[in-house]
Amino acid sequence: MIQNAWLIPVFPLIAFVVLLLFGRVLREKAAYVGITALALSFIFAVAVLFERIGGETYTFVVDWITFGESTVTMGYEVTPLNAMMLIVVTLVSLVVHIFSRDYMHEDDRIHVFYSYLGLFSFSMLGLVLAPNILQLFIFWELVGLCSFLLVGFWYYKPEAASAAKKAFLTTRVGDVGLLIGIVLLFNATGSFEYADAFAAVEAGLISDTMVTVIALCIFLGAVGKSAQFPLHVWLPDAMEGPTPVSALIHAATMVAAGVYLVGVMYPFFLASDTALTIVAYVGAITAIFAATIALVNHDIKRILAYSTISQLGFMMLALGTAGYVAGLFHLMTHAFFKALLFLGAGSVIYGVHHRQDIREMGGLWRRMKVTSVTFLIGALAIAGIFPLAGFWSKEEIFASVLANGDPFLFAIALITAFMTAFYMFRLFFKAFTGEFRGDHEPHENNGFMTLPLIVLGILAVVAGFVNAPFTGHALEGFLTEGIAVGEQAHGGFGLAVVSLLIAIGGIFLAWVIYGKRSISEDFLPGKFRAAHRLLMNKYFMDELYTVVFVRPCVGIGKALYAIDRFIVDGIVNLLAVVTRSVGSGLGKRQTGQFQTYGVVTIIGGIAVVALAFMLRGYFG
Amino acid sequence: MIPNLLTWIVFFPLVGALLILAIPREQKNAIRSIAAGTSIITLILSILAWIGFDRSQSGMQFVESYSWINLGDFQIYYDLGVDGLSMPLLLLVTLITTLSITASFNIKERVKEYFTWILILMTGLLGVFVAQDLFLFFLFFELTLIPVFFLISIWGGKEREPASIKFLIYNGLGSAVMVMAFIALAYKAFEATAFSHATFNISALADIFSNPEVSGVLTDSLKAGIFLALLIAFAVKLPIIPLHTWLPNAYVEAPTGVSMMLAGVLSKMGAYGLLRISYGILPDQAVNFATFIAILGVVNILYGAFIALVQTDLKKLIAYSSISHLGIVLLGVASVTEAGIQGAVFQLVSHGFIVALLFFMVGAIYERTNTRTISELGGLSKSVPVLAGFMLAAAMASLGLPGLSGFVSELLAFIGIFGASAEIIPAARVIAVVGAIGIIFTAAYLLWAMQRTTFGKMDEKYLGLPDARPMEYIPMIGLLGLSLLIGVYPSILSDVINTTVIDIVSKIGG
Repeated sequence: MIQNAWLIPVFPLIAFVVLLLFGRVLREKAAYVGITALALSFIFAVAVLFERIGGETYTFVVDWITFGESTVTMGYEVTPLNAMMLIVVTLVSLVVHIFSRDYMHEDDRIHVFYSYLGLFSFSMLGLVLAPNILQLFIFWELVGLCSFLLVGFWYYKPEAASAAKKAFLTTRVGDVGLLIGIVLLFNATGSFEYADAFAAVEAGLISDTMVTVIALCIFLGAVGKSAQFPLHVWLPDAMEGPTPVSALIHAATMVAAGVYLVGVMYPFFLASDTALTIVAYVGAITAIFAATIALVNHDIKRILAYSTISQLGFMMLALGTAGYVAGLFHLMTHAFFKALLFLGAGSVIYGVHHRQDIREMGGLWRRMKVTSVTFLIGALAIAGIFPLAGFWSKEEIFASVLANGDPFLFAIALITAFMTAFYMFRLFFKAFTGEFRGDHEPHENNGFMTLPLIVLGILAVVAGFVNAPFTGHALEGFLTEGIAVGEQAHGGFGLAVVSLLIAIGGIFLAWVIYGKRSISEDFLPGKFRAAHRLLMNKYFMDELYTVVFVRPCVGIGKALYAIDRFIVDGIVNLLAVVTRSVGSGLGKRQTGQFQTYGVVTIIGGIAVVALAFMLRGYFG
Repeated sequence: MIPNLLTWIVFFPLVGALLILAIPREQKNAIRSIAAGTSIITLILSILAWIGFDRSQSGMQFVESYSWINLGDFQIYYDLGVDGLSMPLLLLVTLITTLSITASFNIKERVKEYFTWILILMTGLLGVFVAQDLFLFFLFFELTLIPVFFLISIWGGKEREPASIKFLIYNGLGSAVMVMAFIALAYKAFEATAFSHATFNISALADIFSNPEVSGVLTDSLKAGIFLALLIAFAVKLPIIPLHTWLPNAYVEAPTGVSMMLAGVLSKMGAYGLLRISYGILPDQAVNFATFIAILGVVNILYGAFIALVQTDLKKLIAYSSISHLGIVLLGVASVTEAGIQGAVFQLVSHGFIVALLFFMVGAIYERTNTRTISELGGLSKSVPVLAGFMLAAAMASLGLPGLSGFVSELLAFIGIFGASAEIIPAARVIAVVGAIGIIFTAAYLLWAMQRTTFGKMDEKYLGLPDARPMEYIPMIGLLGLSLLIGVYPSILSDVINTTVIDIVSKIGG
């Protein structure tokens, strides 16, 4: 089975091709094509995981290109890390495929939607299976393309069109960094293979400075893809895409690719303390920065988007403080509960007739039972309440920050965790409790939408057990097998209690303000007016970028274009005018071609005469 | 294998052109069929050459050599041959011309002359890539000028006349400089060998110039002068800034099929000349000029990209993007590494397919909407979803999306320039990083253009426009398919190029 791992991405690719060719005929039946493909992928992924756990491994490569003496290969390999990722990606993709059947039912381009989902799943799975960093980059760009297509799925909405462009461009900035890193790595080691890179570092073949430079270039790619500060600006806007897309691409899988990339290259990062420190700080800053924005936002999807950015920051923080397993463990648990929250949000949005503002919701608890219960589970999981998935992974992150980070990073982690619990329950209380404030009576959705919620709900409860003390940190044993990633820190009972108290504290504060309403929700914003305005405007980052990057570039473009036309070209135009007037002065007013033909004859003639003259002149 | 295969390939289009001349001008469909048939047969012949090409050999293959003209002591030879550098470009010419002829079936006026000129142009282009004698090279080079001039000035847009004149003046002057450099090369070699070797043959000249015994006469400043003259001549074609201003006018005013030819293959003659003649005969100067060429490359990339960013006309945007993309070629060439030069050749081929597709798409959209102004388009995904889809795919190919050919060439070119030796290009990595930033701008102007044309709200008047016709699928699928093929499986191209590139680099290095 493990030899057939390549089929895992191929099933969705087939679905993509089928839908590209026959989508218009299939229409809403397209959903079943996609669901079937992903179901097969998931089954294969489970089989591959079990064989991998059983100790089997497999690598396959073919020659891709040769230049000079270098031959670059492409292929696939199954490692513990990507075996885990295959499960996460196929599972979340499968449930999103199922969910979308009803969610996208009214869209007459549903077949296009499913074809894009297929292409995305193919690309993401290809990224995960890549045995070298160049192949990873190829699929990395393809998932970016799919993100672009799906964010801009409703292309006729100007916001969607603009968000799609912004997503692609912002991540492109990071991608150029990544590409430079890959090229430098190749020039330093003569290979794109992960193993060769690690071996070169271990053997000290690359200078320390170069290791740091390469690691940081690669990290820049991760910053773009995983929406880390300061390249995070695209992710909230990407919420213009259909909600299932937000769940799959912009929460569970693609945006986690940056974290995965750092994970895959981890031995390389470990060789540079500078790089690791920067990873940790960027992660920490991102985590708290995004969490503060989520405190005040009113759009259910954008709150979740900022929460995603914040949680991705957590993962980076873990990786930056030697918490290899902690970061990747959180990647997995987050994928499940964040997909759950997004699909829950999708269910809510569908139920309240396409509203996203939590001020227009309220009282959904009684009206949308399954959605509400599963959403609550997701919120508890992300807040880090025992014994849900987020509790275990977040606690591991705290442990590694405490062990290997500085007190400042630890403080940020704790504060962010508190904010996370607070804003999630602000959202929960406002949307699900109290009185309904919208105008159309909400309704619960049927099985195709609720089944995915139930599946993810269960996972949000149990997924953390795979790396809990009572299973002997099974995931850690699996992931660290045969790879030098250093000692993994573990927290004790005390740390668990602290992290639990912080989560409960955040939930309690949210309850006081938005549930029980002992404190008016306008009290704090009124008290800190300037801060509130800053947060509402997302720290004015978009405006800043417009002023600092967009406008100057357009200005330079305009200036260069003016120079190009009036100065560089002006001289030539003058020549042309003169030639033409000389031509027409000669009498025959042909269409002008005649005169010009004259010019070429003259020039050609001069050339030939010059040739003859030089040669004859010498010999003659 | 067919004897004199290269002669067949080069002159078969001319046979077709003569055949068309014999057909009454009213029989437009017959003329179109002959043009298409001729190009397809030439394409098949060039594919035979591609198949028969020995990938393990670095020298010239399919060689033909006949004494031709006597000029005093100088013998002009009819020397043809292909190596790993010219083989891909030969196939590029036949592919693009065939597809361009298919794309020109909607030409209604003066059909007979149009296809005659296109086929003559094809012969000129093919000749340039196989000629091994400088004189012959020059003749074919000039042979491309006149058809293009007429094709723009008769079938072009509103501003066709100034555009065609400017094209002619620029390229004519470029040719004049080129021929002088050729004469200087041949004459100085003659002089240096104590008047024993009178030749225009490229490899013979290369041998003379690399012979240490004759180097006394051939001073460095002389060689540098000739190299610079050649660089100027080829810079016009490529084009290199600031010798590029004929290009936007010519590309924009030319009819779609001709724009495809101009950007797809004609511009490749400059880069080919640089590698074949400048680098081939004066390899030591390639090292001396490396930094200069690398800087020119970066200037091309950024200058073209910045100007493309502010264009309001879609076709002009592609014209400037073309300038930007050929900067990658210069970067690769300048690095004098195997990866870099192979990347440059990849970029020539890849850009040929992609830019031809872009021009084709703009032409197809213009035909329906009667406008190329970006702000007047919009929502094309709704009115013409298939065309809009291919347009978007072409833009993605152009911005270097992996899986398509542009990515491979950019990757190789950057491996080359990042890895260039510090003795050849002192600040290679700085130059490379600045060049890499161009990748971001490419994405910016292309996506911005797509946002405003294929995306966005549809203008009501575009409702019910006909989507792609069956005939239009041929160039669309053909060009995108080729880009995809190279992008997914680049070995198909690198197998042919690699041995020759190793040879070029070893000569420069040694």
